[in-house]
Amino acid sequence: MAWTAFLGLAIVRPGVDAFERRLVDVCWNIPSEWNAIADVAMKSGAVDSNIDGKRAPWRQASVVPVADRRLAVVTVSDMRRSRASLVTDDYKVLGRFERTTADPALVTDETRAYKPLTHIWPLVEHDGRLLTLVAFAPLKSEPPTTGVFAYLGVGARDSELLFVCQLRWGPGPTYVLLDRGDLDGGGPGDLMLYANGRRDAAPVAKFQWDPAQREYVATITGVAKPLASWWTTSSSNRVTIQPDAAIDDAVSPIVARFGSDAVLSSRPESR
Amino acid sequence: MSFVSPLAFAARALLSPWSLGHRSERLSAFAAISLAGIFVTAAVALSTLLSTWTYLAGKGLLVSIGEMDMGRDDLPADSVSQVLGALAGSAITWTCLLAVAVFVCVAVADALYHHDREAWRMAIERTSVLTIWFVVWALLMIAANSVRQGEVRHPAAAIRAYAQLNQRWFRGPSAENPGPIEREPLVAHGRVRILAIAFPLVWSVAMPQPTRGRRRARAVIVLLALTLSWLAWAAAWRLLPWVAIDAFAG
Repeated sequence: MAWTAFLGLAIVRPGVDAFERRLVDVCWNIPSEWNAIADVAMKSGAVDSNIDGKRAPWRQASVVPVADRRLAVVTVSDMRRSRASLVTDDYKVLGRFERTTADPALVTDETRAYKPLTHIWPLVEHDGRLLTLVAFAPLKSEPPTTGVFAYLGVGARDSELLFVCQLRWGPGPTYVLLDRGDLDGGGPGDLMLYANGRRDAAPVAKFQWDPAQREYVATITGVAKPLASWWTTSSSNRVTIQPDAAIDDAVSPIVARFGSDAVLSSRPESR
Repeated sequence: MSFVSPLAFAARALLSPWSLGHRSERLSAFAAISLAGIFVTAAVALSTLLSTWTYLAGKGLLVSIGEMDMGRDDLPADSVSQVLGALAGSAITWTCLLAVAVFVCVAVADALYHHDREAWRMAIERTSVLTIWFVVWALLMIAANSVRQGEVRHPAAAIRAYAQLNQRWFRGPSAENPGPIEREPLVAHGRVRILAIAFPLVWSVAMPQPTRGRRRARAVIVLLALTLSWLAWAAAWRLLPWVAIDAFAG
């Protein structure tokens, strides 16, 4: 009788997954155990563990604060294609997007605090989307001063490309640092470029969000022009990316249109 | 029936467990419980030794408290209390897992000797003394890890390599230039799987003949014990929260 009940329990597994999820709650507080969050998210089906129809061989999770709550950024990857899911502590997926990159350093990210694949700055929630800056080259314990960066609004149904820029170093050397400012203005925040990383000086370029046109309006000094190329969304030309499409495919044509040293405000075909 | 020295009994359990099945020698209850306590504690200590948390605590002890993390990867540092708490959690987890292994034996013995309490007591005594094989298993896991990591002469380096692979799922010291993706097979569920398959083999050959009722051939007793043990393990396996166990055991 006891054996029959035991075997019956093993077949039905009543409450085992819920119990496991409850146990793993403590892992949200321990950085070395964050990957258990990814395991539970995949096991529960909240996060698709397959990449290109095969079970992804690699996973990772990190926990980031967003306003008054925290989210787990769960990445599954085969080191060629990666899917990032932004998951609440009750394993609800608020948004996800995919990346294609052959550079493992972009995916595994050796340095602390910077996650070039998914979020360089802390995530910000705005208008039902999670705003995040992602990089297209690995960052080695450095703020964004060189390479291509995309500012995304990540949602549950799709992601919207808000801003793309390419930063480069000039002679001297001179460079600009990309930073986010004024998040209380009701929009996704303004973006600034600071010469040689000097946040205490006035920005050499400012991209202010225009809520009426839903685009960034640029104010650029001569210093910044040779160091940055940029693209902005607009109300007439929004670029949305489906969750299973790689954002790299949306960003690449924009970057391809950037001149080597000219500042452009170009817009690709809508996707 | 004769009572024998616990040490002699343990030595026989280690060297020729099958010989226990032929004899009617007994252990006192105190000796049986003491031996089981000693062997399970030793196995838990050895299992916890091969744990990510041991590496983290050791790193904090030898380097600095600020280094109680996985080093050059993308994680912020764990706090001292988190690492020490998790190290204790690892020991508790291993204790629970070995308790499951003992419980499986007790349950199977109960099924085998349901109407024969004398034989059941003998089976429990033998189970207690056979927990010496938990120590063998734990030592073998440490040795297997050293061989797998190519660090036979440097067990500490092998434990470090285990911790890094367990955490990162790729080899190599650098996340910037990671080696091939690889999952650590000797995490908790991997080690327990080996125990769940191998321990019943040893345990079942040490089971006594029934002292009353229908006499069965010894091979039948062994096969029944083995089959029921594996069945119980398969059922227990489905009921255990392995993600949490792997995380806590380190």
